[in-house]
Amino acid sequence: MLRKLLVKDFVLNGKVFLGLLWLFVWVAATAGKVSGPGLAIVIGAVAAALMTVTLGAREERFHAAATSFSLPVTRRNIVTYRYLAGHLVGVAAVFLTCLIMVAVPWSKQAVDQVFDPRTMMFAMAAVSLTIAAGMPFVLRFGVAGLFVGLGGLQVLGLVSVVAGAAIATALATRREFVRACEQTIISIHQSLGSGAYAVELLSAIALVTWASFRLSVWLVERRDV
Amino acid sequence: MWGNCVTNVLELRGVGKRYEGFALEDISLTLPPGVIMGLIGPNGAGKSTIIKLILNLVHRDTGDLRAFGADVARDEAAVKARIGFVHEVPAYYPHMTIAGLGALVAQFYPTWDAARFTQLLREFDLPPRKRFGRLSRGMRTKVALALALSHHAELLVLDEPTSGLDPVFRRELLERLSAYIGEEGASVLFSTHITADLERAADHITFVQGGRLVFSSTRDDVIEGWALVKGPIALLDDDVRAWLKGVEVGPLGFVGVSDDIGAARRRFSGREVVIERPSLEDIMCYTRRVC
Repeated sequence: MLRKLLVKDFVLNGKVFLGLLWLFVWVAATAGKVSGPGLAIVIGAVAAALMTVTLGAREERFHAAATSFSLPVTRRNIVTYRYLAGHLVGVAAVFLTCLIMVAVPWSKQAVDQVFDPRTMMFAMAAVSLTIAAGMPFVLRFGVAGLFVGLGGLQVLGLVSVVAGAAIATALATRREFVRACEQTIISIHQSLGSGAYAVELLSAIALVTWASFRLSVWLVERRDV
Repeated sequence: MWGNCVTNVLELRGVGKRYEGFALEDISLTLPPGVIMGLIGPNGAGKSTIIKLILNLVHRDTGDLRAFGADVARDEAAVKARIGFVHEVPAYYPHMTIAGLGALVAQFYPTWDAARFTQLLREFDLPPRKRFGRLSRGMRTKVALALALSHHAELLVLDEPTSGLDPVFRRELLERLSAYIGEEGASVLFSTHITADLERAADHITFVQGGRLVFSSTRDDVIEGWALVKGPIALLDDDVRAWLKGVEVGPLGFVGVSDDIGAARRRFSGREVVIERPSLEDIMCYTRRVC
């Protein structure tokens, strides 16, 4: 059943994938010229995951949700395949980006630098977190909900900056906040070299993804189409 | 009223669904195998809501709803594999061709009959390579019908299937539905507000109004059992008004409907009252008390 749903969505949205694939290839090829490929890999993977998260909202656009939900599939199946599809596309995006970055003739990237396990693990973690964060919003509210959620995060960020400035704490300045985020990301990235840390982090990601999945199933099963 | 739950295709018992501003309440009906049931009612009566409940597109607040003996919510995949559906506004991805839609839907139904689908496209004059987005409303309904009729469904659930169709195809569709239940031993539930469609095709009629079930009975029982009562205003006292299922008062007298023609004849025996057999449209019209 999951295979049928995957085939259905990839057939229905194939043109969207193809249209974005060219952009994706261009970005990956361009990133081959610059040093420090990690950011490009992560951004590419997150973008691909976001694309699959929003795919379900295309049915809202064409008012085809009633048709899909009338097919002989359970709502749990529908949610399961969306998470699966998001991760599959994310994995494919990571490998595709890495491949293009080293394959283009003008590449400045060393293969071992691009195919760094820590970078790829970090990219997959970013994919999982993107899906975990975005999928419940989209399943419940459509694409608009996702953008509202992202907007909400922006507002939260602004509020925290304003609040920090109001109470004059050291970390409330924008530069220090960004620096702190950078250090956190670098620290996580470096720590992924430690097997135990990697296992712990991946377990945490898996737990978050599972919690998101359960929430999505709960939302979809209660949704009136 | 409750037949053997193993043999009935559809059973609704006390089903209810509440929305803001509208409530479907205490809907109970039974659809036996090999029967065409027409679900009729004015706009906003709850017909589409009943169909959505059957397809588990919306969740019921109360009651029990079973198809083929199984709960439609708990066993939805297995139940839906045996149901062919046509929504009031068929919606598929506009860039897909008709043939492509067939191939896509086919993988979900183990009993899909590709040859039949091709034949139906030919009979319905549907070009396989035409994109769904370029079809007229009526052609989209035909596509949905072709998809619904192509996997040997044991139950067809059709929401206003004749809406948007030309009169020739409408008649043809109703004949085709009758033939389908004969060939497949299937049952059909279709909603409509066009009473002529029911009179032509339906064996059973369920009338819904204001979210409530007015009656669910065989067509013959409805036609034979109801009465259209016409009489002078002087006869229309509070007792008569309460007894009739619906009444309209005009300058020359009143017209009302009763669900018991025998009782109507006894009640108005010897009076200046005309008692006739009503059409379905009369029943629908006068029970709303507005014509």
